[in-house]
Amino acid sequence: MMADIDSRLIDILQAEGKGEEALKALAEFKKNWPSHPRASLGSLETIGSDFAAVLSGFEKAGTESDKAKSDALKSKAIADFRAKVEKPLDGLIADLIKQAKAAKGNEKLTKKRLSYQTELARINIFLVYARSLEAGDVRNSYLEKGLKLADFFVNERADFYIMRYEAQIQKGLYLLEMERFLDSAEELELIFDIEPFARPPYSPQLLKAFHTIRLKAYLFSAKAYNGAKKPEIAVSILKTIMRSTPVPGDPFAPAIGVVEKDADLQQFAVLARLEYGIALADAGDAPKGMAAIHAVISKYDKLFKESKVDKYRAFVIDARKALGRVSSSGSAALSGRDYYQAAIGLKSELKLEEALNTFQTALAKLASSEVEEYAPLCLNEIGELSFILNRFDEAAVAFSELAEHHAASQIFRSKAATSFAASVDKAKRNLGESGSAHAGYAELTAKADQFSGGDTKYQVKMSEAGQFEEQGDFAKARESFLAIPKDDQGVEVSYYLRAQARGLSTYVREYEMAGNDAAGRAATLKAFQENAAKLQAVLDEALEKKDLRACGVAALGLGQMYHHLENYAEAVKVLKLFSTDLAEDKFYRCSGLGYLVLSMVRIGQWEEAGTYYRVLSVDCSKEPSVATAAYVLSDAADAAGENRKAALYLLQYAEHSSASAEMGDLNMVMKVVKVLSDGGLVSDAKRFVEKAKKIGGGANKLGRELLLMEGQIAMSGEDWKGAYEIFTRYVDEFEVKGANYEDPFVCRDLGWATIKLARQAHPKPAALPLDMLLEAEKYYGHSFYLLNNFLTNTRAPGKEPDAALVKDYWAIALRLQQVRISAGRAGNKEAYNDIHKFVNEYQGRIRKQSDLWAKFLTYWKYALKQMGKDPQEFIKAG
Amino acid sequence: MSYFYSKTQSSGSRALVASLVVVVSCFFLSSLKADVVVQSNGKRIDGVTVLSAKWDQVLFKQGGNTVKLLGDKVVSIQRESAYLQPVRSAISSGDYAKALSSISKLDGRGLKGWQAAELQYLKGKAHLAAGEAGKADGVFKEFVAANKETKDYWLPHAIYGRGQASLDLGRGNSAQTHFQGLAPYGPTWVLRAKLGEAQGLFLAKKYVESRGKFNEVANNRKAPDSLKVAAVVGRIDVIVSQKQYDKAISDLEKTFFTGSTTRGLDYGESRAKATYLMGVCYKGLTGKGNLEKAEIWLLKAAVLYRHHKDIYVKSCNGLVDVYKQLGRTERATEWGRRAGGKS
Repeated sequence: MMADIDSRLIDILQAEGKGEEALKALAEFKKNWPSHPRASLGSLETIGSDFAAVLSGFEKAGTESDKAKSDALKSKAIADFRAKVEKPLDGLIADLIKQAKAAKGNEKLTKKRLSYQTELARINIFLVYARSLEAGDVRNSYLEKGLKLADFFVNERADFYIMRYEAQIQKGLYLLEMERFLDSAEELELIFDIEPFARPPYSPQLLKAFHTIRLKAYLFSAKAYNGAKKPEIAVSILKTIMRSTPVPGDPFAPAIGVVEKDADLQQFAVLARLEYGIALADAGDAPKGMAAIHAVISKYDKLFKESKVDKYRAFVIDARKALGRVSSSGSAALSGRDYYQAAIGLKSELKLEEALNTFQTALAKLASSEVEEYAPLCLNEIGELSFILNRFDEAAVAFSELAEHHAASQIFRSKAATSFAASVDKAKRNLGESGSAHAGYAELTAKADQFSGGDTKYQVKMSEAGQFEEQGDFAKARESFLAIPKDDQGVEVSYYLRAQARGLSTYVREYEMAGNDAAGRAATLKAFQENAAKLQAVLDEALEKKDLRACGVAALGLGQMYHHLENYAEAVKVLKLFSTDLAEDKFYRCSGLGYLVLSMVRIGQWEEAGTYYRVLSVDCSKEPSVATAAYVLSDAADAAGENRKAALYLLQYAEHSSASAEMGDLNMVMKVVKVLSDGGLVSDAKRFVEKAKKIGGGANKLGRELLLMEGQIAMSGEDWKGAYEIFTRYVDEFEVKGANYEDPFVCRDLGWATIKLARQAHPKPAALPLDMLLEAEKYYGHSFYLLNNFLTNTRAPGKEPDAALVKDYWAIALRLQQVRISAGRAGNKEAYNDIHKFVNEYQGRIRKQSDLWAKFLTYWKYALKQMGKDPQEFIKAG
Repeated sequence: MSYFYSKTQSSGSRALVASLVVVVSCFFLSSLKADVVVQSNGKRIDGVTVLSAKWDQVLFKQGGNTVKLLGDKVVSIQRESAYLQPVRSAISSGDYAKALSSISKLDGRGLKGWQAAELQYLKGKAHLAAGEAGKADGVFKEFVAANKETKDYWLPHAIYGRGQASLDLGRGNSAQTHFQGLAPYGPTWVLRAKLGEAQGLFLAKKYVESRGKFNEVANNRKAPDSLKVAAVVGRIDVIVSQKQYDKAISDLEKTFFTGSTTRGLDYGESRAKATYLMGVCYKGLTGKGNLEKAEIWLLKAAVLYRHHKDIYVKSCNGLVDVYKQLGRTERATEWGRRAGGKS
């Protein structure tokens, strides 16, 4: 019971369009009720949510007037469908089938049901997806694929008969979509008379299931016959169920008047009524057909007005679409008003050209009694559609007709006056410079100005100024923004403060555009000094009036001015507004928080800045300011010796989408590798080593430095084999003669990697093989030799050598003796003599320069003993 | 059925009739259409049942009442007919080839009574509109012969059609005879005949006489508004042909484009032609400024009156001219494309 309540809550969240919250609730649900069927459906709901996003992508693409943008949206939706819907669905189905096969008893049946449901969902998803695609091969391939899956389901998935009927309907729908109308009708007719294997009394659930299947079968087959231009058959199919009481002798037949009362079946019942209306009109009984459609409009328009329930409005739109179909077929005489309704239906289906044409027909068909009410609506739609289709000149003349002859209409006063001004402006702008001198547009502009005041009038000016700014003409943009007055003949201009703020902020854009032009930057910095106070005044007024849009522009501009003037403390003060008063700002907050972090780092508050960075990285995750802030924070942490924090920040920088260009640079990647490696993020560092290899053109061409880092990463990850191979390659590829500072340390590390690798192959207590010990001895010996040369060559007269280096030097020497002891024990007696010679020669310096003498002495004594010599003979007193 | 499945099924089915989007909700008064009668004063009466339609009298049922109107007062009727409706729609949308093709299919179906008569009339009308005046005249002639006795409603329309066909064929005298033959059909037809005569004179370039005839109709107090307006536009068309552009502009402004009242305003053919003529006038005047004004008027004619095919095509062609003169070849090509029937 509780599980069902929780499940219902998820439904509610989904119904409210709170997709993210629903998914979270679902995740919680799966944890709490793992055996519930909903939980067992795995990722299907997540896939459903991703699919909804794909469909919304197509919808956006459909309304986007810029073709390039529209194509990009479509490509993204197609790619997302493949990656986030199709592939996971295939995987999920395979997994569920596997689970069903493995399950036993009742569990087997449950699992099988789940896998079938998911298969059915895939069939449905492919159909809906194919409908979103443009005509062509891709669309056809999904239709073919879906049809095959539906056919397979019908033939092979016999265990649950209701699902099988559903698949039969899907099959009909695929054929309908492929315009194989008669095939579609034939498939659907197969389930016209289905009945359950049960005796009366029938449960309401059973009746509903059969009503649903049969209603869909009747509806879609009628649609198929209408498509096949056989409306009389469509009429005969639907006629039997067009009744308000149950069909006598057939309780499973869906009488429309009955099923329309069921919330789940209502939409199919309404569609059936509309299809019936279309069929009647096409079959020659236009009055009855139109009456059927109008009855739907009247009923649900009234219900919508009373209840404001969206689905009723949707039914009215469906009915208008039906009118659109009747108007396209020309089978009934429509009035101007009917054409208007039909055009609205076409518009809602995004058939924009057809809708425009129908609005134009509606205008021509209006009877004198309809003109006053419908002509303004038609003209407004003609204007709006022309505007959407980028025909601004045509929009302008449609709106001008509204202004000249229907200025008193509600639609003109509420919106078309603004659209008029905007379309004239756009049309003129399309003409370029000649637009302002165009005699025809001069008249339209005068007319548009006559009907616009305050915001309406200056909205165009504001957009004009914005265009100048986009084009990089900052002086003109500034002039235009600052020319926007506080009020227009007493009518307040609501975005006056925003215009002022944008105008003054153009100096900042100018500064950014100056790039390396020192003179240009200096001149702009002077302008900053002169205008910061003005912008501060705008900000203060905007804060006082709670004009947050203006406040956002002003705070960002002013913060940036102070930042560039290196007055970081003032910048921080202003920019902190983005975490208080402007915390809800949608336009400037991300840049504002980014600059806040930069300014705080400059005044040494990098640790405190971390708090703002976290907000920034969550709320503005995709903004470039996140990457910039992470980079400077990493540098600041690095300088403070906080290697781990530096690494964590730099990793966020490196993985940010806006840093992808910089991360194509080998030096930057090398820096990332080093910082991550220093900060202990070994596996991440390795990833970037691979990236560096790619950029560097392959392992053989790698730089010495990168190879060194790669070896160190392998060492810190205790990957001895990797370290051994990398350092060996280093030694082979580069002359290890002490030309590079790192050479002795590479030899040392190679020696250590050799020992560790040998130990891996021969775990204790086994002895290490002599050949490996000799190899390690060779590297330690060479390391000592190189370091010895380095210390000798770099030692300044009268100065002590670098203490840390000396410490390393003697540590390497000690390790060398240690390896020799092991080699001696492994049978290389010469090794004892080498220890004896080494310690004997260096004993004075060892005692003076290191605190390792005791250990050296131990090894020496041991070696002498093995050589059969008396240590006292060789060891100097003291 | 699981939640997800039903949800998917549901959204899929909704998508069948396309996604549901929010649109302006508007008042809708259910109009259960049957036949339509349009009176000469422009009033449209929907939802009636025409009982009998003769040229001298139209009898129809409106609600429970039987209404009788003088044929002279009825400008058109539309009786529900599944057969004829596609033909009417095709003619109305300017697709004459489609109309004629539908007519040829219906010819063999043995329509009877008023449907057979109207089909014949529509055939003549479609030929005439398609520029096949000779065929139109033949069809109208047959119609008149076959329906004179029964006084079919479309009889004077067919005679008028013969007059127009004769004009198109350059047979002024025949046209005159046909128009004069309309006298017995009532005063409105007499006025219409005068309009036809005026058009004939205009085509014969007898501008003064033509203007006189148009004026007669325009100034006739008893003439229905639609005829008066058509006469005014006809007269201005003559003025435009005489290249008196300033005068034409002034007359058009006065008659059609001054004042913002919607009373009496319609988006019919006369207003469409008036808008187009404004464009023609400005195009005829010299100077770039006038050409630019012509552009706006012709755009307006094309955008607002696309349904009036003849005016639309002329406006598109006018725009082609204007854009060529303004050096905007891309736009000229675009409007040339549209004149050819591509949106």
